[in-house]
Amino acid sequence: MPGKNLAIGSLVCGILSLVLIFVSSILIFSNSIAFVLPIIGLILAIVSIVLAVNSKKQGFDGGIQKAGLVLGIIGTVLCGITFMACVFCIGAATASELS
Amino acid sequence: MLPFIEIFGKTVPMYAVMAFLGAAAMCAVSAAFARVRKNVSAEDIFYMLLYAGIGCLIGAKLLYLIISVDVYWLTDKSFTENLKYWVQLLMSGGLVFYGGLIGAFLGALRYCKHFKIPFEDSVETVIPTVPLFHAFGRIGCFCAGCCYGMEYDGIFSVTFKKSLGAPNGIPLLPVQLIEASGNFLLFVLLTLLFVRNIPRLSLSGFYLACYAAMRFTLEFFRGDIIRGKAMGISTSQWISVFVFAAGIILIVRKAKTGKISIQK
Repeated sequence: MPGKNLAIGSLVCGILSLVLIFVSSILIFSNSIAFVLPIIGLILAIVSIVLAVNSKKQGFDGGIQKAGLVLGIIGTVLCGITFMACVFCIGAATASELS
Repeated sequence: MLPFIEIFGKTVPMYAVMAFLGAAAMCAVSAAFARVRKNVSAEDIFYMLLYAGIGCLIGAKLLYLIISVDVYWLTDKSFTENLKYWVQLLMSGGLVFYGGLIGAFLGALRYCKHFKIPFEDSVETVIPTVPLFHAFGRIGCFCAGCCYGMEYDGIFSVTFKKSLGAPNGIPLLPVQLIEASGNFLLFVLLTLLFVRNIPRLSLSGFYLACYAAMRFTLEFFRGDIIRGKAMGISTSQWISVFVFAAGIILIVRKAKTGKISIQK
């Protein structure tokens, strides 16, 4: 069926992004790699959304595609929250720490 | 005011919460608008907004890094140290609205081109909800204490006590709330114009011109001077000038030809 492979890819990326955000929340403050995991999770979540949309546009409309899309959106929100702040806030705090 | 909140035992930045609430409101209202217009499906609008959201995140972060070059590129440190520092900046925070707007535009354009969806109709359906999203974002700024106003000791002045960005203990003009109110007003105005469906009126052009004029003015009342500046005005004011011109061009083109796009 056209688009099924894309839907499976979307689901896998969505699950991986959620696993990464979960692992980073456990490791936070105990391991420096935890700092990078939300970024990788965000990229995987974005890939998951793009694959799910492409799958739908190719004519696949199954539960796998919907699950991939939902997991991608949840992953984007959760990963995005961890590194999102308005201009100046944390940036300025980082600058004062490093300079 | 309230830079962080606790959700299930985790400390979450209020700015991000407000931004995602704004995005959810934007998706819901856009889907309702798509049902009113009926020339674009609600599903396509939703998918286009997802692409626009991805573009928005990337664009807002990229512009933040670009305008931070002179502030955050430390000349006394080595290239490797600066690079490490930038990676930390990339992951620690910072988004610029105009970068997000340009990124969202490119994301939406990519979706419409790739799947052959009418771009102009889709954008005209979504554009009234952009100021709604932005208003939520500005309330988030107020909660975090960033994008703060100049020193002001009159009526409605605000004094931050535990802000990350704004100077604590000094009365300031709540410019974030003024911009949020302006955005809400713009949302109401654009919704009224959308419902009336005035032919040959470019809602995108109207939004761009109105927002750019408002932003250019409000920038004079901002107190956060640690941002890019050139020839006496801020980066955002320079971008506002070009955005205003783009808005006027869109309005004139739509009024003359009935179309925004230059495709024949």
